[in-house]
Amino acid sequence: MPLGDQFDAVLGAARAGGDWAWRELYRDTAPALAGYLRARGVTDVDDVVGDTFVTVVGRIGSFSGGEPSFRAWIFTIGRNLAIDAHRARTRRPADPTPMDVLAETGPQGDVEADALAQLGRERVISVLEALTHDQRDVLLLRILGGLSIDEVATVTHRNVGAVKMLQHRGIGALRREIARGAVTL
Amino acid sequence: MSPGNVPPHEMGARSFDDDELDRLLGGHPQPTDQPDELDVFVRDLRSAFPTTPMALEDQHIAAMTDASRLLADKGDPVVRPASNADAPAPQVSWLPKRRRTDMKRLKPILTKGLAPVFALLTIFSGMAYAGVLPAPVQNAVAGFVGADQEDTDDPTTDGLVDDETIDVDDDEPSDDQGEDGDLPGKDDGEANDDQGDDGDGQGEDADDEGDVEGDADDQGEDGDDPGDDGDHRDESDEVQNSDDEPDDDSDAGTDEDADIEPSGDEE
Repeated sequence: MPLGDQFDAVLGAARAGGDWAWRELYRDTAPALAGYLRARGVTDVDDVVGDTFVTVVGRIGSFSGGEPSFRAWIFTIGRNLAIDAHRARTRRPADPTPMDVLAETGPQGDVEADALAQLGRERVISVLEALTHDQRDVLLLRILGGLSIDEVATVTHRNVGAVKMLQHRGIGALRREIARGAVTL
Repeated sequence: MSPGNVPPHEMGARSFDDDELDRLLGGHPQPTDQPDELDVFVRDLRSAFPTTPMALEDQHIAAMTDASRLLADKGDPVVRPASNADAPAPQVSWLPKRRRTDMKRLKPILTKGLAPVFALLTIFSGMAYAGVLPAPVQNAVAGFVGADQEDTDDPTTDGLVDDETIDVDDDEPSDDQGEDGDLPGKDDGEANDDQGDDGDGQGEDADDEGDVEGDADDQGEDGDDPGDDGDHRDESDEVQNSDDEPDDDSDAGTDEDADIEPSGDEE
């Protein structure tokens, strides 16, 4: 849920060191950021999200703007950290996830529902793989991040026209992939 | 655009305007919007990657709180590290480098210049203490140190008189009295300077009335400190006594010779 009119007060309290304010800002943005990172293929999503918000705490003094700008700023930091993590992972072997973390974050409860969800995810991922990297990035920021064209342009360091072009071509590629019948939605 | 130019998979595709596309991608399609395959994909995408609360929310919040407190503490650090980890080296370690530079400059001077001087002084001091120096040098050193009474047979004789005697015999430049004798007629000026230090310049000073007055000023300054200069006055008195009476004339020529005049009175 967006903070709306309360955003300025919450941001001021966070700058003053209020723990509750940081929690509100985290709950407002972290789930969307985590979904975007998972769709990008980031393996250690929790680490990247945690690093993102620790970085936000350290640089909160340099931020100015409203809630949409704040979301765009957080997604910019998270995207950059995800790129860094991907580069680091290619240089060194990944550390195995501890078992207790897997028990908390892994599938729980209904096996059938989990299987269907996994199947639907694989289909979606196969469609997304038909897109170029930039097209996929723009559409994921638009759909999962809930960012506007201007905010996506800020996050991806592109101008608005380029983002619109990527979005248009990405949607066209999606339609082609769906119409090809590669997946059944 | 004719239908022949449209790809077959886009034949039945809807075209969205910007607002409609924003609503579709944002997950808020209006009820009037007809369902589209793209709309279905967006819903599937959202369900595949849901925005559920984070499992590690508490840990992340704790890390953010710790980072926030660390930043608050950074404003006034209690102890700064001595290393140059947080600043360029020239700023942090400027003072030690300067000290090292100074020591590098002073080290050759100390080793090459002062060490031989100290060695010579030590050797001569030892020889003088042992009394193995040549007699004139031994007497000069003894007079300089103030132990000249050991060399004199008469313990009541003043050391300064002995010095004068030695100086006369050796005819050294610091010999005031010998120069006084060599320069007759100039004793007036020299008599005021007979402290022994300015022996070389006394003959010249005698020609210059200003120098005589300057010397007299020195005596006046000495008179400011009666505790230290009492001996000097005695010495000067003795010198004057051992010298000539015309000293009184030169003293009379200076207004500030009040310290010396009493010696004439004593005589």
